[in-house]
Amino acid sequence: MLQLTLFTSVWPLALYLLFGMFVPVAMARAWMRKSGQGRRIHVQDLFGRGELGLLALALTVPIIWDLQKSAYAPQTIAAGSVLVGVTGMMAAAVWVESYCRNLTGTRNDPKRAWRDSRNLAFFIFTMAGVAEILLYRFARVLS
Amino acid sequence: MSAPAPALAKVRYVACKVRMGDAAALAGLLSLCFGVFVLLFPRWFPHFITESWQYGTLVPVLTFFSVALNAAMYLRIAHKQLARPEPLASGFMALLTVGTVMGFGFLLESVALHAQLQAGPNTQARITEEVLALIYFALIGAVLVPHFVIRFTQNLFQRSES
Repeated sequence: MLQLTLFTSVWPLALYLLFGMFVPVAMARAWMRKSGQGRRIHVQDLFGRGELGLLALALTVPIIWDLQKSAYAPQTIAAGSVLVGVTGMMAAAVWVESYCRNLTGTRNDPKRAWRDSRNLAFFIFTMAGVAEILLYRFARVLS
Repeated sequence: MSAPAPALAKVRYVACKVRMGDAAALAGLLSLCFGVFVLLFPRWFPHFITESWQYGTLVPVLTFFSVALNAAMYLRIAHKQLARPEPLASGFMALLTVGTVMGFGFLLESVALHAQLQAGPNTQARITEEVLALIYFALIGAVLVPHFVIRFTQNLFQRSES
């Protein structure tokens, strides 16, 4: 039962990790190898300017969508959607700020952008996992 | 003319700047713990949460826990930045934390009422799930909302000063 819950609730999130993070890194590594470069690409090289914030924002949309479709009380749906939405915007703001600073030549700290976007992406990912588990439990109660 | 004594020189402290990344790391950790508890104890944990809420102990305990957590977080950020924690910001953060948890407490009451009015076969189980979800959002909100408001206020003041 536990494993079934875990699997059915969390496997779509694994797709986000796979296609959002690991596939681009694998593609970058393949490109490097093909072009004869010795450099090994890491996640931080590819997402070092806060791009994980954008990925996290993309992850918030299905959570809000699933919450809206659920049979929770309107207050729960509203509170959850606002919280998830605000968090997604914060994550996107990290990427936007870093991008704008780069564009305008304003003082930029890539380490800070990476750390903030990584932390926010981690938070949104765990929140998505918990939200999916709670939605799954609630659907089981109603059925 | 001798150099001014260092002890008499006015020490200039740097104001502690809250970053959302720090709050997000804490919220992510809390979220992970909550998810693990729900998965490992699928019956006991929701039952424990609902029972505590029915006995009226959940909201005060959550308030105390969140205030302590946010205070520790703020002090840690200040320590990391070698900055002085501002009493006004600390008080404001505590107030916002209490306000957020209280707000979610009121929401819990109205949601339970809503579930009872929709009398169905699984009313108690439905209330349990609603309480579980709202407590999760309250826990996350109690960490995020104060940091978000303080960060926003700091940005606002920084812009008006510059």
